[in-house]
Amino acid sequence: MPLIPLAYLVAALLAPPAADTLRLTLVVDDTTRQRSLVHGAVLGVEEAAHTGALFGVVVQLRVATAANSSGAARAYHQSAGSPPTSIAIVAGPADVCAGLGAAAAHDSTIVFDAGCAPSWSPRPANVFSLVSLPTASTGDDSTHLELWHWTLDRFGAEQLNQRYARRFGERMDSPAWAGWAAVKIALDLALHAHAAGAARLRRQLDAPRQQFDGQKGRPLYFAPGTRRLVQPLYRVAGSGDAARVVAEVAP
Amino acid sequence: MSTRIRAAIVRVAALVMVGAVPAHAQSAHSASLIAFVTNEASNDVSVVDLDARKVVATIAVGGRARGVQASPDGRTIYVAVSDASPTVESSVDAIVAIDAASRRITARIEAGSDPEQLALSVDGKRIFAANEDAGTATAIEIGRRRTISSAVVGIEPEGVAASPDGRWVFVTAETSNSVSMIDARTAKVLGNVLVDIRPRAVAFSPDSRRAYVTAEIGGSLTLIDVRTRAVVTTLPLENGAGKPVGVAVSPDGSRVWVANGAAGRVSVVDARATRVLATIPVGRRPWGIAIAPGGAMVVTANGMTNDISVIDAKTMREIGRVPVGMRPWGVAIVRAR
Repeated sequence: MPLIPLAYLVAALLAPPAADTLRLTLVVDDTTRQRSLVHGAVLGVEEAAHTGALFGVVVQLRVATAANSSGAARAYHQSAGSPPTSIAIVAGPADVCAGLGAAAAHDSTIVFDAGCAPSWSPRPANVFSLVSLPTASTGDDSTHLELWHWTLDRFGAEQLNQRYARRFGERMDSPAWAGWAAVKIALDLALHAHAAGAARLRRQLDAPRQQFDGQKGRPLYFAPGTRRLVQPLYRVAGSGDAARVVAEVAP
Repeated sequence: MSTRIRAAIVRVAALVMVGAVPAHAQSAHSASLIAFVTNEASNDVSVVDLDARKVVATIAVGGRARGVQASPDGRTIYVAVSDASPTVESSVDAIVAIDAASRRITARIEAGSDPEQLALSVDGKRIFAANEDAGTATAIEIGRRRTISSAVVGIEPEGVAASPDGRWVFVTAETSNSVSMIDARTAKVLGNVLVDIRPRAVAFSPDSRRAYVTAEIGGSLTLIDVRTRAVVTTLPLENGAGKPVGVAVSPDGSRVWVANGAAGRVSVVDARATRVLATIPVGRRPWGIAIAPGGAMVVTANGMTNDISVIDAKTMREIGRVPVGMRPWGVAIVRAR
C-alpha cells in the first residue's frame, strides 16, 4: 500500500458558490521522505481554504504520486479538468519533476519546485523553486542548512510549528514547510491577482514588489533571474531532540 | 532686580543647562498621567507615574501579559493574559481587569484561547479579543463575564480595534494578511480587506472614517477607507525593514504614530498627506504604543531594553526612559484619580 494516497482532495466547502477556484496539483514520488511534504501541503490547503473563504476563493488540492517522467505527466493530465490546474507543485527525482514540468509547460501552468533533485536541468521558464539550499559543502560537517526547523519560534514560526504538530503529531521539517509554503504562496498570488487562472497568476508572480510571508521574519520573493525563492535558511547543529538552530543565514 | 525675579531666572537657566523637558511637555506632566505597561516575560504589569517617571507599583497577573486597554472612563485596565502555549487553552488564558486607582485585580474574564490583543466598545461594556490559535474574534459582555459572540476571522488574528463611532471592530490576521471588518452590534463579519504581509495592529481615526494597519514583514502602514472597505494606500516605513507593530492615532486625527520594532524608532505620519514627518529613536524593539489623554505625550513599550520611552508629541522627541518589567509589550495611559 502506498505511503501517500493516490488522490487526496481537499475543498473549501464554506466558500460562496460564485467563488474563484484555486486548483492545485501536487505530484510527488511515492517515498517516505515526501510524507511530511504532503502533510505540509495539506495543512497549507486547510489554512488557505480558511483564508480563501474570507475573500470568496475556493482552494482545492489534488495529490498524486508518480514513479517516473511519464507517470508524472499522466498524473498532471489526470488532474486536468474544469477549472484547470492553477499551479502544479512537484517534488522528487529529476525525471518525475521533468515530466511534470514539461506537461505543465505545455499548458503554461506555473510549477512550484518544492523539493526536486538539483540534477533537474534545464528547467522550463514556468518553474519556480521554493528550495534554495546550496549543494556545495560549507566545510563544516557538524552543521547543515535547513529551510525550516521545529525549534523556530519568532515571527509566527512557533504558531506554525504548533499548528503542524497538533495536526499531524510530528515536528514540522523542511519538506513540510516547503509543502505548506507552496500552497500559501499560491493563495497569496490568487488574492493579489483577484483571479485563480494560471495566466493571471503568472503575471502576478512577475509583478514588481510581489512578496510573501513564510513565517521567517523577512519578506520572501522569487529572484527574477533564477526564479528561486529568496529566503532565510537555518544552520542546524545536532540531531533529534538535541537539534538546534545555531544561525540564520540571510538571503 | 527683585529676589523673586532673580530666582526665576536661575530656575530658567537651570532648565536650559540640563536640557530639561520643554514647557508644554511639563504641563502635560502636571496632568498626572499613569501608564500601565504589560510585561510578557515577567508576567506582570508595571504602573508608571509619568510625572515622576518611575514605577509606582507592579501587579502580577499570573501569565504572559500582552494586550492592554483602558476603559473609556479610565477607571479600569484590561490586560490579555495567556499561558506559554498558543495552542492550548488553559485557566491562565483570560482578560484580567485591574482597578486603575487601587491597582488591584478585580476580575478574571474568560476570553477563549490565547488572547493577545483586545479592544473595548465605546460604552465600555464589551471586550473584543483576538484568539490567535482559534482564528476567531470573541465579544465578551463584561458585566456578565460571558462570551456573547465569536466571529471567524483570518488565521493568527492579532490586532483588534473598535471604531470610535461604535459601528466597527477590525481584526488583523497575521497569516492571512487580512483585516476582518466586524459589525460591532451583530458581531457578523461584513467584509475582509487584503493588506500588506503580516498585519499586526490596527487603529481608527477619531472620525472612524479611516483605519491604519501596520504590517510587520511588509514593513508598512496601510490606510483603509472604512466606507468603501478598500485600501487607499500603503506607506513603506523605515525602507520596509522596520518591522512596525504598534499604531496609535492622535486625538485630533492629524498624526499616526507607529512603533517600528526592528528599527527601534517611532515613525510619525502626517495623516492627511500620508507621509512620514519624523522618525524618533526610542528603546529597542518598541511594540506597544499609546497616546496619553490630551495627546501631549506618547509612550512606547520597548521589549528588548525592558523600559518605556516617553515622547513629547509636539517636539517629536524622546524626553525620558523608565525601566519597567521584563519584555514590556503593551501600554495604556490614564489620568490619575
